[in-house]
Amino acid sequence: MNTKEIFEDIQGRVSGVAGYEEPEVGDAWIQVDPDHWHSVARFLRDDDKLRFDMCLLVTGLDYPDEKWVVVYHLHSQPHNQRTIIKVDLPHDDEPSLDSVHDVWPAANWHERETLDLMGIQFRGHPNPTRILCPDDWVGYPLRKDYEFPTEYRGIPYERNEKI
Amino acid sequence: MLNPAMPLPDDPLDRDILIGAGDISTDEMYINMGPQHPSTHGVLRVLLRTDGEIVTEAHPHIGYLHRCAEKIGECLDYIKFQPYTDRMDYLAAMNNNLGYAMTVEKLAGLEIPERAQLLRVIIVELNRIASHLIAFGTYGLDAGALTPFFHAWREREEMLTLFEKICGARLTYNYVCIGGVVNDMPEGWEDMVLDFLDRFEKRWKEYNDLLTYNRIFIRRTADIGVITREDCVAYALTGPMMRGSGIDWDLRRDRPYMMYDRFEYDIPIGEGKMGTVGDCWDRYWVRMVEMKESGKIVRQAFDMLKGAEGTHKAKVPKVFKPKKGECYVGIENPRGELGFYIVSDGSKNAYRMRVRGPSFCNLSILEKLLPGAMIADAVMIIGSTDIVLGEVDR
Repeated sequence: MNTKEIFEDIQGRVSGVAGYEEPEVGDAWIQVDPDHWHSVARFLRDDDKLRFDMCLLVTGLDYPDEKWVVVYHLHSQPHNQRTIIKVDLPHDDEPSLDSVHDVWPAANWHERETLDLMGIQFRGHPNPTRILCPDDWVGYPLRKDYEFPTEYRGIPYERNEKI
Repeated sequence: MLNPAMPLPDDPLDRDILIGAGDISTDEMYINMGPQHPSTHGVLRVLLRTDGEIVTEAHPHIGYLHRCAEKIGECLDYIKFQPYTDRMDYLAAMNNNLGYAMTVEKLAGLEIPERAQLLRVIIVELNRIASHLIAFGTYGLDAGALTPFFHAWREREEMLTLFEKICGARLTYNYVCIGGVVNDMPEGWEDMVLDFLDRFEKRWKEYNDLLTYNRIFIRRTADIGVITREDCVAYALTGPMMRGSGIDWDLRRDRPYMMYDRFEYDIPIGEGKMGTVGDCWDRYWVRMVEMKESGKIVRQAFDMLKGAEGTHKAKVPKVFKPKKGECYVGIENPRGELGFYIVSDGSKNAYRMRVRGPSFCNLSILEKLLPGAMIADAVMIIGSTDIVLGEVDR
């Protein structure tokens, strides 16, 4: 099944499926309502026709003054099919979404990375700490309004004198 | 956070120092394995909680090589970002170049000539051999066998010379580019590669005599670090890690890209020959057989190259602006599925560049795999994941 067929299939069977979109070029995706995301995720994994048992990638997107988007790339090992799920969040300072680490353990580290670099909180995550940046890092580097720091723990990024 | 019941200081550095000095019982101990440790294959730190010789908890700490390649991808235009992909999985730089180039090409709707595709197949399969040679050599080192490493390095040295001849670089090639490959192969290169493969196949048998069927090595790897099929899928492990657990899955065959559907080759899976399916030996063996299979593909690709149409590169505009859209492409790297997810807003830079590093996902199972193992086995288990920290941290 392609993403469109999957969307038509699940639309009536689970609540929270908000829409289907196709970009000008590239892959289509299914839009899911943030409040229902956890139950939809469980449904996608357990339903016999879908069986999306692998979470390949979790990505955070920043559209300033518009929305945060969390993108899930899913893969079904038994059926060899793939789909993309997007969850939109309102663009406020502390976006948060239900964690799906209990549905797909693979999402655990990806969610931590999304928190670390994009600053999206995942509710119910067992270890919501930074993963790539140092623990005392300020700000979220992948946000569009991120300001590059000038020093880290007293170490300047630019040298004033020549060596 | 290690133990929710244990109060920890707020300052992370103090926390690191104080860990292990708290009110834990006397026979338990925290050990920092890494960041500078020969068996962690780079700057990886694994915090082990041990009870005597047995690991009871493991917490991998990564990020020592973090350069935020994804942000760099947003700040540079598409063609300029290409060399940065070399620096992620530096042992398989050609494959990383390919993953990125294919994603951008899909976004831009570029058609790649047949000749360019075959040259790509040849070079990435050779790079797969070079990468697995390191996995083989250093895995021997982990077990305390020094000699196989020198054998592996001898062959890798020859391969690097071949790469140098075709693209001028020995580690970060930037050879596979958007639209094809940078230049066609030089004269006589084909014979050199075929000559190397002849020698390599003989030496491959020597490797097995040296290490694969070595009694001590089998005792160190068989039945150690067993990953079940369910765990494999749940943690989204890919590549040799997945095939080692007996899951017959390879992107090259099951979701074919480029011209992989036109080659004949076998895909090895773990069968539990020396112990249990999914143990360290199985993962090691999958990589060994893959080297041989890659050689087969390279030979077939050279045969097909004789009748191939087109040149080594498609025409790519100098100012490169894909349309608005987004796409994800996953390819079979030596370590698993390497994925690039690019969101384009129609400008010359990517709006969002996301990389799925296979090592990053493969490493995440350590938290589950290490508890219960002996400390010495922890070394073997980390070695069997065959990670490249440049890609874990990106």
